[in-house]
Amino acid sequence: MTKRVACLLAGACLLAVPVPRLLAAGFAIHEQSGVAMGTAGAYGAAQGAASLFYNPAGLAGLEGLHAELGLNIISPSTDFTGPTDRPTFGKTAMESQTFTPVDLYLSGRLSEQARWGCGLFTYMGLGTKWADDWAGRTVSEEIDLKTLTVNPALAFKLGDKTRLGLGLDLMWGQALMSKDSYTGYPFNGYVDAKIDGTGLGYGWNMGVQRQVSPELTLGLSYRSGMTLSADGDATFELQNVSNVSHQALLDSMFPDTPVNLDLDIPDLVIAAAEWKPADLLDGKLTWRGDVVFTRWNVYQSLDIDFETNTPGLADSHSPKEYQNTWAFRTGLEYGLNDRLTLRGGWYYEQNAVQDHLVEPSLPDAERNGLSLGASWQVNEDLALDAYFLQVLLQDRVSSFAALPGGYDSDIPIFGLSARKEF
Amino acid sequence: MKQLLTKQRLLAALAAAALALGCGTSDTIPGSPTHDSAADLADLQEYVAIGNSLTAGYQSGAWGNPEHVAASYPNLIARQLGIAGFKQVSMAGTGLGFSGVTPVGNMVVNFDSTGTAALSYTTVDPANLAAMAAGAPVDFDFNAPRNLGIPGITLMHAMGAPLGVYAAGNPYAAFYTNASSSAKTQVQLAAEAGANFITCWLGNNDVLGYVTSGGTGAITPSATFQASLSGALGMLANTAAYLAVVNIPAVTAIPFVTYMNATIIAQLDALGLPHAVYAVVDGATTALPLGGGNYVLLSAATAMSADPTLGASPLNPLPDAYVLDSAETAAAQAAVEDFNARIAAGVTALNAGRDHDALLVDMNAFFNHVVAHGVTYGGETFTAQFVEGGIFSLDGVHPTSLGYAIVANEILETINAGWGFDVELVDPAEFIGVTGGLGSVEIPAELPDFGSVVELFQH
Repeated sequence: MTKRVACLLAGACLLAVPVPRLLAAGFAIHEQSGVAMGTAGAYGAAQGAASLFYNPAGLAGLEGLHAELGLNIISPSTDFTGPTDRPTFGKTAMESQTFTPVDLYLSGRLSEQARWGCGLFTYMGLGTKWADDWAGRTVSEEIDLKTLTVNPALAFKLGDKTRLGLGLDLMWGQALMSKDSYTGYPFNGYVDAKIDGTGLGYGWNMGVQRQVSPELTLGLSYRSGMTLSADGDATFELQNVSNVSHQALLDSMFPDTPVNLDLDIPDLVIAAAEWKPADLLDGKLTWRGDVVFTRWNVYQSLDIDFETNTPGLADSHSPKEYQNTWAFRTGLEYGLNDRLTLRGGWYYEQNAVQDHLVEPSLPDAERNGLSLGASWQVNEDLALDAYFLQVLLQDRVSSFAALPGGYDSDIPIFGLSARKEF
Repeated sequence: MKQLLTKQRLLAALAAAALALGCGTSDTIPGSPTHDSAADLADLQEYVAIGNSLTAGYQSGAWGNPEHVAASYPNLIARQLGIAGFKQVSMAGTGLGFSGVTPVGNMVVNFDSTGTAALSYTTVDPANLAAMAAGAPVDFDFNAPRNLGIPGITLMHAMGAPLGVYAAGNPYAAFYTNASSSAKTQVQLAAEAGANFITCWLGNNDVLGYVTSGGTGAITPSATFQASLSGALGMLANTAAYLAVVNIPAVTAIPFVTYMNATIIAQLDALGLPHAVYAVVDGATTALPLGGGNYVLLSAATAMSADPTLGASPLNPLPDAYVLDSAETAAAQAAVEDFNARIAAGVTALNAGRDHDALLVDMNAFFNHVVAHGVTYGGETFTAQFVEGGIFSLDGVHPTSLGYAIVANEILETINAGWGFDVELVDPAEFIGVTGGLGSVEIPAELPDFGSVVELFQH
């Protein structure tokens, strides 16, 4: 048994390539389980292997060894209309990218009261890419923030009705940012600036669940914020070099240099309820509802420290001034028969980015999501899950000084997962 | 194609010019002499001009030819204001230009024995190279009255680039760079010059380079332009000087853009071919119809005359840099419109609390009028046609001395109307027929390397 677990973990490490995602408001990602997403991400009072992410206390009620492996297929699209301070402007489509992040959860029994668990998932990430010569080239061409979190946890039963979970977060992150700097020399117009860095961050999480009645369970969980300290390199490439003296000048103005930057990751609080009315539909119906608070105001600015500064290359300070967000997630689960379970859900989430700071690297917007999901119990030990989530973002009008305009985004997501009990 | 100009056409223009001269000042010359109040004009004596090549007096592919810079519009304005000792950079011989990275003197027209005209660069005077290498003297006087024009400078660099850094990328800036100025920007120097009258004509190069490079260069990002403009106008407005800001004339109506199409179309007509050339547009060979915003640039002339099949076959298309396609033309025109709207708004915003309003000189409207109708002096109409129109010099981008006189008058008229002065206008007759290089008969030369003329327009 232990050997199989080790194999699974090793396999997951290979599979779970960290992937950027543009999902929840800001750059947080709530999509962490094929089961949980069937109910639009409301899972904080539920019990399953994926509780590792939503509320580790949910592990305490599990018997045996559980594994859940999930795949998500995400294809965000955004159209930018602008810049609206120009006499003529048009619509630019973000380059289409498809992301396929994987999540893995394992949990097992340590004693009658205690369970262990370990998760591998990506709950912060971002990927946007615009054409090299587009109108916002000096604001952002590409950003690719990948993270991978390893989250070992322990969960305990405290009596019959209360469960407690505790975990540690180790986040690995890689950030790639690319944009153009205008040189002021029209014939050698732009320097293509790229920053690539990796770093680590540490945090913790905990959660409690309490069965307040046979039908109703409440949950509360907390995942700490952290600072991802990244070191890397900045490289600068001149475009259309037509003049040797400009080349020499710009080489001296934009030397390749080591950089470091700190990325602030917000705290996350989930308050949740799960209600299984015994008298309704033969007790086959489950309602879940979560309220999610994300403390985005920790992300006030993105500061990039270039080790070498020149008259052309000063340390960079980009105000972000994110605002805290609330999200409301709710869904119903219905056990149609012994094998098939159906789910449906809805969520609403506030946006984190203020109007005057919305820019193309993260065209954030207030959003609604509608989900449908189903599980098929293949046999006693194996279940397969699928979900579809359509995220509908409100049209966003940005007054960002360097690139005012409108953003129109939408994100369809498919997910598959397999759950195995050993 | 080799016959960019015929001797006959040039001679006709020169004859017309001589005729105009012979007629003397006619009543169509604006601004007949008036007697100004000395007290009024005293308010404008400490004059500083900042800008790019147009302000510096660049003409026919070079800067510094004494005859040319004497006709720079700031010098003409200073003269009309009665300013004694107006300072500006003046070089030896035929000034300093660049063919690629090779220093040259300004362009001239030569005629061979068959009467065929060709353009060529003159040889640069070594003294100008020595002066460039030496930089500005220690005691260089930056104070008003002075012309601070730096050929090639963009608004962003005028506002943000210290000369000591900037001069490494623009050799013309070296003429202003010494220990006292190297940490300062052009705008800062103007603001500190003790001026009571400033003209500012910047922003042309923020879109012109894109045009002359056939869209392979860059237009300054709108937000960058705005930030630089706000900074520059704010700094200049702090001086309490009379401030006149000139906007950007249409960069796609200059002969560098408009000349070749007509010449090629005439050749195609002679062969009974449709009006189109093959060119690389956005990486793909395309049959580009001439007109409708598609232009073959003057920079293509040398290569096309050397290789008659260039542009005539899909196997030998014109490089992207030699053509301005309709999308690029539209982008340049939109940028001019955008920048001019920002300049107009910026000038208006300065006026609150100032003793005398900052003035906008609408050179764009004036130039559009000239393109549409020409200007008439002494019964002779001068147009925006390449060379023979009389207003544009041999590089197809910069004015002739006559062109600069017209520019000076447009600025003076705005000043007179806006601030109630009565400054006498320049009499253009003085410059008719003396366009730089025209008429000089030297040993026949090959066409200059127009391909590398592109390079010099960043200066």
